[in-house]
Amino acid sequence: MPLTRLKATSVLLALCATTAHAETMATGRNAYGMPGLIDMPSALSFPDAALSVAHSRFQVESRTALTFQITPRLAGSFRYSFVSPRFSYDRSFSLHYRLLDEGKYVPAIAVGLNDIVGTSLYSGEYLVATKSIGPSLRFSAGLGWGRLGSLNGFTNPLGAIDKRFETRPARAAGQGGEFEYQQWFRGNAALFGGVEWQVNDRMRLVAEYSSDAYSQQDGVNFNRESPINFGLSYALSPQWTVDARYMYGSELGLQATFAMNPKDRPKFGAGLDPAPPPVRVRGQQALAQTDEPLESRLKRDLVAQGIVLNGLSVQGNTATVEVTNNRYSLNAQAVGRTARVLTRQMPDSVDRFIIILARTGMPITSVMLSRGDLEELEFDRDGSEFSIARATLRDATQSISPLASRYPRWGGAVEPYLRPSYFDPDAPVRADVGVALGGVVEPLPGLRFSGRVERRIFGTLSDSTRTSNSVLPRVRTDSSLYDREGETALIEMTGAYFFRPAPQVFGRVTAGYLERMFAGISTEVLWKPDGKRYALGAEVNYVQQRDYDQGFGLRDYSIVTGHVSGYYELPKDYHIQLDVGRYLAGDYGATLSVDREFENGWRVGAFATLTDVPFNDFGEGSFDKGITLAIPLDFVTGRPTQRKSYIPLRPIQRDGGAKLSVSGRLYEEVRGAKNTDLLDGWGRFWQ
Amino acid sequence: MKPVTKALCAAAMVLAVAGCQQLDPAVMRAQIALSDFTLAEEPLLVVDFVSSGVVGIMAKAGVNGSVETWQSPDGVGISLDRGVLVRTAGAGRGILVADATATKSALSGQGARDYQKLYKTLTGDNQIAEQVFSCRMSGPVTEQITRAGRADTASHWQEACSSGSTAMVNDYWTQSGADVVKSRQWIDSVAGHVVTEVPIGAPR
Repeated sequence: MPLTRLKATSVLLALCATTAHAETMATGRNAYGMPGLIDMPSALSFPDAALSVAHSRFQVESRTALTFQITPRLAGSFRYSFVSPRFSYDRSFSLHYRLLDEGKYVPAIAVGLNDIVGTSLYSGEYLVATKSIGPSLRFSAGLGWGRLGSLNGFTNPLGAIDKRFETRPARAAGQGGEFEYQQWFRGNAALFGGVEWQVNDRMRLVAEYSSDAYSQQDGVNFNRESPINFGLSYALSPQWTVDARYMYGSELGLQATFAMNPKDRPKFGAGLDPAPPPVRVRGQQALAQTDEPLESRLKRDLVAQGIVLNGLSVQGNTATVEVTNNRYSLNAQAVGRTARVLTRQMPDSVDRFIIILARTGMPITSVMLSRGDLEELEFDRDGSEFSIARATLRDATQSISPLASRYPRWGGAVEPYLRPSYFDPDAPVRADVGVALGGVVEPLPGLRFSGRVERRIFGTLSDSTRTSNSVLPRVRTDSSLYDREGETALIEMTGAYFFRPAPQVFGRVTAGYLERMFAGISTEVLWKPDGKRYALGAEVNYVQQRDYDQGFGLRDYSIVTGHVSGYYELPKDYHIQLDVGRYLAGDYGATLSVDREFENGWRVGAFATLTDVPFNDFGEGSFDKGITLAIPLDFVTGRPTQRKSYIPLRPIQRDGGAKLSVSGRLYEEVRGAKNTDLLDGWGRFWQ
Repeated sequence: MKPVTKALCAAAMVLAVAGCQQLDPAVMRAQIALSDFTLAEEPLLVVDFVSSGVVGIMAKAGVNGSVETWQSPDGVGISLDRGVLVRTAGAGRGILVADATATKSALSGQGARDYQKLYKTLTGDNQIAEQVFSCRMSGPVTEQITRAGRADTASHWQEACSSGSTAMVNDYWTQSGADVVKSRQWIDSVAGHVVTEVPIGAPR
């Protein structure tokens, strides 16, 4: 993209943002990254699906918060803080739910929980109301408990319901990371509140009365001279906001926030994908005269679209092709482009196209399209909707004969890699950078041999001196040994076979060095019926732990591990997965994952695993849990690609609830080409 | 005047539309103005994305009924239904499909002067979004214009549209009936307008 275009676009974006700000006051972000004033919450919400990273600091501590508006009413935040009295790092989660929308006379009301599964350092609950008066003034007032009830607290009014609310029980001793629900809304309560004034489109002034006494830090790291805080918030751009604060009558505070929305792509819209070849309309444009065989013309034109032709058959008036989409994140776009290439290369006598989408050599879905419909609907005002209605999608269990030139197929790449690690108490972020060599050989349809070797160039992962204190088999907590000894590491070397054992059923067998820490055999079967939002899968693996140097050697520990998995696509982008089975350390239990998945490939989710390992045996954190982010690269660059950046954020990785990390798991391989995903993404058919 | 060859067009398009920094839009426009399009071997269209300052020459890639699709070699494209913009491609924010029916009728002088016009776009989350504009066509007024740098006379039509708080204007210059020889058409509030010019003397 030329610089001129970038500049012009940015200016316009800034203008748009200005207009938007003028209409309503933006929701402020407090020092916890949540809807709020300065240190206190407000009753507002961010726009649905808004995602932000906020870093705030003042004398006492610094906090980095990843916040997501999970539903229009529910916001969640994961925070990583450096807390000075202990000179330690702390991880915590918060939830904020807007109970009531603001009306003409009634305020918005929200309830929130801070630090629900952490060390309870920030443990506090609140009920807060917010009301705007005019276009630029907004008041909030609330009642806080726990830490938010620590200054000028009074007897809990909830005691009127039950006297037990008046006492906040001590936190249950343990490894942290548990839901301390017996404390919630109990003990003394205190009032907090504040006012916000939107000075202009970019600047907001805030004053608040904080009910947080900072009892652990006051007099140790700073002197809390006053409960009143003052702040100035300035929107540098629609994405960036900075806040300057005068905190507790004695300290300066600063915050920088980057906010975006996975649903919006203001710069690129639906992307910078090069224009597709137009439909050739029979009778209006003749087939180009050439001696080049049909197969070679098709292959060439499809490759130009990032699509591989696996097989071709023309019988009567029907042309069938099997293709693999290597470029577009949504398969509907690959189907649309394949169809247009077919109109340009097929003789006029062919009037029906069957396009079989294949993945890892396995046929998944066939899409039957009438050539006449393509000609008629290309520029129809309802061309997308009609083309869905007139397409026939079927489960495809049989491949067509592969082209003689298709197999064997080779591929390889040398690329840089970055391997990060978060939340080590000695260094919150560590990373290795190196070069990776990867290769794939496909001798036959469905059969794949692949390998990856990584060579570290520099990095800090091996600096970790943490040794495992786990009482379980050390299936994950020896990771620093793998980091240290695997300077040149065979990350993966496998043979895999993907196949269709029955209609709507998919199968996989993978053997070899499956991941950094385990080798063995992995088998999987998935039932994903057409037109349904659910799927069921089962996986059984026999694996043996690998040597720390990640060469070919193995250690003594071996285990049979596996899961039965249920998947369900809920309305409005939500997705749940439940895995029940045996984990790597031999523990039995279940993992629940809830994700919000957007049509453009963004995914924000959370997972938790409970197994029969007692919390004390699990160690710090009590049970395995975390957050996952998937960022599609095409969202960032505008250029079509299927690559995504996956960011799993685990507060701590222990040995309980640990799963094998094998590549090619069927659900993720298959679902994009199954009919529900194809239909959901059909907007890209004509792109 | 310099002759226009396929090679010049291709080079210019690659440089200009792909965004090569050496050729600024003014230089590109000047070069186009110096070219003799009567020597062109195929139909060409001069296209100027006003907001982004990207100027290029596109070749005809396909015809479907009355819709012509024009593309540059690096994958930027527009589709025009008798000169009325119905789709953009490869330029980021754009139009999935616009309904040109009423505009075409109005330009022919036969249809209603007040009508509704539908635009469909694809959002950043791949959902189809619709916007219906209320439009009024005014004109024609005979005007002196330049197209591909050369002076000409054409009938100017102006289509003023609004939808909620969004207002936009499309301009069309026609000759011999409803043949659009130049236009300035709205894409969206961020992408702005695109100007199309049929070069004088180029094959149609």
